Amino acid sequence: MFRHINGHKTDITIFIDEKPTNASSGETVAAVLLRENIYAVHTTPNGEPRGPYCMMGVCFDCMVTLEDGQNEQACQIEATEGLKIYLPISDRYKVGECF
Amino acid sequence: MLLNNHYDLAVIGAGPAGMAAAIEASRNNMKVLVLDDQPAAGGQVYRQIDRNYHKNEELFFLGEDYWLGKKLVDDFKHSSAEFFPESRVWQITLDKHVFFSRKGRAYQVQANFILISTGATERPMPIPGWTLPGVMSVGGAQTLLKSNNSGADGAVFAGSGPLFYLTIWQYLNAGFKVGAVIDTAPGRLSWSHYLWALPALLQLNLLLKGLRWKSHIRKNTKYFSEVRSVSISGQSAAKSVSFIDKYGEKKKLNTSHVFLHQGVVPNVNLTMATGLKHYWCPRQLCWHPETNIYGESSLEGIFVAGDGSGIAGASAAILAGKTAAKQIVQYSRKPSIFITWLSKLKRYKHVAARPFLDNLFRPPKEWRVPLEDETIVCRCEALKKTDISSAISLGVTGPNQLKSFCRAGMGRCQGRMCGLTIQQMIADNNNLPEKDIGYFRLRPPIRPLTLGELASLADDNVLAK
Repeated sequence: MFRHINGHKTDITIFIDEKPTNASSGETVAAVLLRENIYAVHTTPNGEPRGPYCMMGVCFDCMVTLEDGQNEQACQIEATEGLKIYLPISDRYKVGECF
Repeated sequence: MLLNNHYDLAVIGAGPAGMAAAIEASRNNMKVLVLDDQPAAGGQVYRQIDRNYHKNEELFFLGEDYWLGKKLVDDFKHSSAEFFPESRVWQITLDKHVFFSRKGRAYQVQANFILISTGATERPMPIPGWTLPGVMSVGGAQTLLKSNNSGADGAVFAGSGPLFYLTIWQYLNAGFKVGAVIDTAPGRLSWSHYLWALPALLQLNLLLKGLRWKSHIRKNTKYFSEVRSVSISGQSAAKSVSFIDKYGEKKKLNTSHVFLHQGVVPNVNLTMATGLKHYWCPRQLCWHPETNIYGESSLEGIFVAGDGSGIAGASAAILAGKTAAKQIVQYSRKPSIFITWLSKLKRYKHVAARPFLDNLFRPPKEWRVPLEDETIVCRCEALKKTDISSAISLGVTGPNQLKSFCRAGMGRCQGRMCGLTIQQMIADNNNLPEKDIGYFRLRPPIRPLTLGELASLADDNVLAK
């Protein structure tokens, strides 16, 4: 499991599928997901799980949905106080509705 | 904040090349716009250096080369260049209009000159299980260190290349436990390695640094050299990694994190979609945009600098950005032969070791095309090697035709993760050199774009800060 280097502190709360989660301001949402042990973010058309891979906006395997319905790469957005993100893999979505 | 409609120079990518160019151009009173898709300036190499600097004691493990970037970022911040992070450029037109999206809205600007400095991406390493959650690229692991100060204990690193050793060295110094290091570099050096090592001595510092990292890694990790047949298994996430060591013995290690790396290649999505000419570089096994020594591409007034025009590292990128900006500033004056040679000579100091490194870490084909039929090649569409090779065997002549057979490269990453593998597979099947096969025809928008974003182009060019 991913962890912060020793002595690092978290200072904000973001919501992953409505669940409050500690984060540091300025870190990317993908990093928070990994630290929360969420490696599978979405599934491919044939149902294979995928999660953050490149962390620099190339692989598109960390796409999450924002409150307004917009899809964003979790590695490209910064965690800010109160940010709400939803995982395409979660029950909130039925197959085909998200992508 | 109002975005101007017109700039002298638009720079895409605020890494070493882009920042150096912006500093130089704005020093010469040019109106410069810099766009970058990351949240802060620095590129991948100096990622988040501004925020990390005040805790540099805690983060000492990133190494002196990283902290050197602070001055460049400071100079860039103090320059008159207008900088917009989180801006994703999705199209550049021939009349030098730049289209980009930022926070759900699209904008366009025009510039007299454009510098594309979009850097490099990691070469995909398609091995069994590389799509399993928990498997990431080594660059991704390093990004997590730099921008999030996070890491994973017990991770297994597999691959080779300068970034590979650097990241493991940083991991160890940061206090993370490294599960094992699986080095895929061939063990024996050939005569050509030794030949290229001679000019590389001009960058002796670089070579010594690499040797230091490697010996530190060998001493402090479970290290396996000359490894073959690496595969990762697990149901819904990575559970273990198997490989054959140099004595031919099968090994299996349990881990939930595997980091893969086979070097970096220029990120050609924007340069290709803009219509610049590219050529195949057999030494680096990737496409490079055609440029002259100043970085000007096949399209007048559009320049390319940094690793995006060929892998050469940060110090060469800084020089390339500066050289391009100087040329842009005095564009109408044709440089003399003397100046051209001087520029070549200056550059050589920074790239002397490159042919040696390229040869040393040139990934053998087994790491570029999977050996096993069931291994995924196109991550987005979940296409296995067998899906793609059976489509190719129907008589496919190039990557673009392949798309209509099986959708390879048509997913969200737009071929970024499979293009080179597919090109190689077609080349092998048709018995033609890679350069004759060509690459995916990349078209704008090079980023996913919503209709809403597109429609917002009609609004005023007022940017939310």
